[in-house]
Amino acid sequence: MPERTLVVDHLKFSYEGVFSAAELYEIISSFFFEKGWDWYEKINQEQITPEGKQMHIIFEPWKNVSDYYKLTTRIVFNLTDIKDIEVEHDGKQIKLDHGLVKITFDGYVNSDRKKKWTKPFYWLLSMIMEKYFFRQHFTKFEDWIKSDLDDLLHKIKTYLNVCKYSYQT
Amino acid sequence: MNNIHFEKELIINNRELNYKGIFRPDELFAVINKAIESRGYEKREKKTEETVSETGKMTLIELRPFKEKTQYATFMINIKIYLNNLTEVAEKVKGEKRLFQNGDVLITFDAWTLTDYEGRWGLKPWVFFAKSLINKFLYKIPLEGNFKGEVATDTAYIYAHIKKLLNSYKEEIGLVVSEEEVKQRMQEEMKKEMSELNIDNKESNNNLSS
Repeated sequence: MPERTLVVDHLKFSYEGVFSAAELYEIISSFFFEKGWDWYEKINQEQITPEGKQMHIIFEPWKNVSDYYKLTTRIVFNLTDIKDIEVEHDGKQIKLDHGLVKITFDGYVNSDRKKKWTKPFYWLLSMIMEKYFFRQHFTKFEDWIKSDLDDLLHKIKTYLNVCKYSYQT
Repeated sequence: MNNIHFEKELIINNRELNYKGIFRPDELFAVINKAIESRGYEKREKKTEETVSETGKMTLIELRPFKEKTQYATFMINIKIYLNNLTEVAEKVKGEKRLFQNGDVLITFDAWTLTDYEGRWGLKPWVFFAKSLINKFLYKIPLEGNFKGEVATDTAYIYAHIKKLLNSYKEEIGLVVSEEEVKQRMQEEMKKEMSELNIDNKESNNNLSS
């Protein structure tokens, strides 16, 4: 039976100020493309209100990392009160957006991705194998998803020029 | 780390560290990381918020480092770093120009113990009661005896390291006056006062004699 383990639990990022929504979207999608993930956009909603644009996007990219394991992420992207503004840079007028960005990251490691070990005895066997014999595989993929999401967050922070917390000492 | 815990106990509630002045965020984070690592905690970032306005940047970074003490007990320190009204400034340090951020820093600490004793025999009323009696009057069971103390000590350790770093910036740009300089200034002031007093005395003597 496929099991899904939550590894990155609601890592949150928010930013209010000037940015380009299109570039931000591009950063996220190109990141997953470069890392060889499969792209899946679950929800893309847009509402235009007097306060500005309200966008709600959910990405769920995934990657098959072995015959048995699959990594999935869930990125909830909320843009609130987005207004178009024009900024002068080097004598040129640039069209940008101003508003509030809220992003939430979740990361999962899915086991038995082909749903082969579903019968009770097989399930028991797979659990024993996973927990006691091939534990290292699981921890490797756990680290993998953590580091990928950390890289992505770092990229977004660099783009928005946000004060960055680094794990390195 | 298991994300669901049955019992959570708040040991340190919102201990605050305030600072106003120049600092470097990268150095601040490096010191926090080092302190966290040296106490055996695993680093974990939870939240980043940033608002850019005309007065400066406002940033909130929330960290939740944790230490798995036993299979059923985990320590977690919730560190919230608020950086408000940040602006970039260049200051001269030992003859060299360095870039700093100037603004208000508020760091709050919450320390928690997270346990999963529910449903285990250790939480049965009589066992729990007997254990607390033994812990209090006879013998402190070493495994759990010092859980609260340990997490509080770890928090104090991180707090002290951050405070030390933030205070060091004032010394770097010469805002903090050393003890010897204070003594020298006092001596000079006293000499001045004494000389003024002497002049006054002489003048009064002259007046009296005339």
